[in-house]
Formats: sequence, structure tokens, C-alpha cells
Amino acid sequence: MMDVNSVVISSRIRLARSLKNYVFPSCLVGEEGYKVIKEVADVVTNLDGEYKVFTMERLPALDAEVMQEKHLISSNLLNNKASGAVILSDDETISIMVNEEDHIRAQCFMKGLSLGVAYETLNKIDDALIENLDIAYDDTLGFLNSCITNVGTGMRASVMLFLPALTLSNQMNSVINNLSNQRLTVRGVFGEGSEAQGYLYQVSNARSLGVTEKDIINKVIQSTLKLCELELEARKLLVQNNDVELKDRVFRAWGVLTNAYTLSADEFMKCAGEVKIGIALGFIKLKDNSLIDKLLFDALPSSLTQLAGQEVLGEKEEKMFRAKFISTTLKSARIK
Amino acid sequence: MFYNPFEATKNDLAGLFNEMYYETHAPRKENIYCKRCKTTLLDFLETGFVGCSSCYQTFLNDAKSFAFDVHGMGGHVGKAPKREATKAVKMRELENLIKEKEKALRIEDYDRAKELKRLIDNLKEELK
Ligand SMILES: [Zn+2]
Repeated sequence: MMDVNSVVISSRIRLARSLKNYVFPSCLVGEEGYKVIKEVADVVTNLDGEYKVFTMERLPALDAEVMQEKHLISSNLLNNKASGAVILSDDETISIMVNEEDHIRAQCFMKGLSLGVAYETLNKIDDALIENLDIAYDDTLGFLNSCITNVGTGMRASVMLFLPALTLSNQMNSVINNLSNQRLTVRGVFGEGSEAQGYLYQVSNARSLGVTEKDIINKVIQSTLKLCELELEARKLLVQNNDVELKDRVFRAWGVLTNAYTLSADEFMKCAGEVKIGIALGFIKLKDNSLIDKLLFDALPSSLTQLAGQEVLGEKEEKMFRAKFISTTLKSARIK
Repeated sequence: MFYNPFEATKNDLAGLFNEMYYETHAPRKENIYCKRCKTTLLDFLETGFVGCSSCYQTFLNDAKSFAFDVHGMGGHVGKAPKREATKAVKMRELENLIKEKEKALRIEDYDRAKELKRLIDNLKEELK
């Protein structure tokens, strides 16, 4: 069995839908934005499960930034104070952005490689939206959205991958080329392209028209499994050829994360990537190995500020609090 | 504004002329815009963005070739809203009935043609 979970961190499905009876968000004026929010919210809040509606106008700045750091909302939505809103399920696995680039951007997040389950979950919500709202659709172009790149299924299926060995062995550029030939997009989760911080990459489909939802999901899954295979092979080679160097790298990073007195978000991200290698290769054992993935997001500036119970943190205080929070958490989670 | 003298006529022959007329007298791309949101065809072709769903009707042919450039050839094959799906099925049914009626007329089977005309009218009514 291939250890997919040491490579695939999470899966996400996004569906873009637009209303026929309102101009698209970039053209909305006055009360129309509210009406769109109300129409969408009325449908979603009537579904099974608990949903909460947050308008960007009323949402406190820090809460909005935390949502953005968790990828629940985009910066585009965050900046749309006039008409942006998000509808969140209580477990935060469903996020429906209203008046982002499109009237509706519904997303479902799952841990690990779970695109199929994520789609099934989101599809039920989508059925309700389609049944109750006047959704723009054309027989040839499929679901009509603001940008031509999002017509057809309006779907983006993406996975977040941890690819340290492919990065360290300089294979990422050829991987990225290869995937783009298959109409898949690769980018760093934090930072850009092959300079991705923490060795974290996002792979998603570029094509949304002329393919079925199933085609898209299958393609992303197939490519993800291939990438897992390549990454695990590269990890094996790294251990074979550079065992001492690799361990040194991992434990130096561990040393920083558990001993530093101040820690910037950048330095944390860099060291967390190295420590994650150590966890994946079994040099370091934690009670829960996915803890480090959670920390990646908890240690971002706004989330950290919220965790500290503050409204704002000065730069120095932020770095000190991060260092203390990370070292305490990691030390208590380690199994010797 | 561009005036299309055939707009009001509805029969198939006029439709054909209509198409031919558009090909030879098509307004310049610079002058085409969506009446609802004022997005111009040139804006759309430059940015890939439209301002409302009506833009796609106004720019339909350009939108289709643009979409095929971006995504590769092939129309939508994914999920379809239920009412649209039934509509598409009925449209195909209608086309078939029209063909059958023409066939019946060719072989001078007027009873059959009359019956088919009734079915066609019913379907057209449903599709309104
Ligand atoms: Zn328009």
C-alpha cells in the first residue's frame, strides 16, 4: 500500500454558479447585492445542517482575515465589503461565497484524498441551489459564469500536496510542465511555483468545459496518485543518498521550532516543511501526525492573533507568541 | 443601432437568410455590446469576463469559439439542471417530428402529416 496520506493533505471541490436575473457581481449596484445574498442564503439555510451567514460588511476584520487564512474565503471576497458574504457550515467543511467573482462559489473541503466524497456532499447543495434559483445555463456552454475559464461544469477539483523530495531533487519544474500538458494547474499554496514554501503545492484542473465532473475528478485523482508514487520514490532515494544531511536538516528545524524565542511566519513555514519531512520519514513521531498541518494554518498572523485572544499583535509580540505556541504544542505532541 | 430586417420573420427559410445576412452584413466587433450590462464584445474577448448572463446570448458565437480555444473542442457534457435537460430532450424530439412530417409530406401521407403537425404544435406549446 502506498502511503498517500503522507503526500496528500486535503481535497477541495469548488462549483461556480451564476444567477440569470441579476447582473454579475462586478456590475452589481445598490440593493441588488443584498438581494443575491438573501436568495442564496434562503436556500442554503433551509437545508439539513447548521449554516451561518456572514456579510463582509459586518464581519469583524480579524474574523475575515482568519477565514481567508483558512481558505474559507478569498481575498477577493474579503475586499468586497459592499456585497460580499459567506455561508459556512458549522464544521467549516462547506463554504459558499456569495458575490465573489461569481454570484455563487460553493466549496467543500476534506482531509486527505477525498475528491469523490467532497463532490457528492457539494452536489446535494448544488441540486438545491439549481432547483430553487434561476441559474444561468446554456446547452453548449454549460453553466454560465463571469469568466470564460469557468463555464461548463464550473468545477475546480484541487488537492493540496506535500512534495519535499520532488522539490529537493529539482524535479518540480518537469512535474509542473508535465501536468500543464495535461491541462492541470500547479501552484504553491504559500508562495509561487517551484518556490513553494513548506513544500506545499496545489494541483487542480484547468479545463471545466467538454468534460464531465467525473472526468475531472478522475483526472486529478490519477495525477495525484502518480505524483504520490514519484514523491515516495524520490523520498526513498533521498534517504539512500543523503540520510545524514536529511536528518541534520530535519532536526535543526525541529530545534528552531521547539527552542526559538521569536519566530516569523516565514521561518515557521520553512522549518515546518523540514519537520514534516522528518515526520513522513519516521525520524520524528507525533501523537497525531496531522497536527503539523493544522499548525501551518494556526500560526498564520491573523489566526495566531485570534488564538492569543487579541485584536492586534505588534510584530515583536506576534513572533514571540508564535515561538511559544509552536514550541509548547510540538514538545507536548512528540512521542520519544 | 444595427437593424436586422429579418428579425421579425419566424419561418425556417427566413432563418437561413438571416444567417447569410449576418455573415455578409455582420456589425463590426467594436460595435457589439450587451444591452443589459454594457459589456462590449471587445472587452469580453480581451479579458475573458462578461458582466451578466445575457452577454453570452449577445456574443454567443464568439463565446463558443473562445470557450473552445480555452477548454479544447467540445460542448458541455457535465451536469445539467433538470428542467434544461428535459428541454433539450424535447428539442431533439421536436426536430425528429419535423423531419418525420417532411417525410410524410414527401410520400403524400397527409393523414400522418396532420397527426404529426398536431404533436409538433403541442410540443412547441410546451417549449414556450
Ligand atoms: Zn451583459
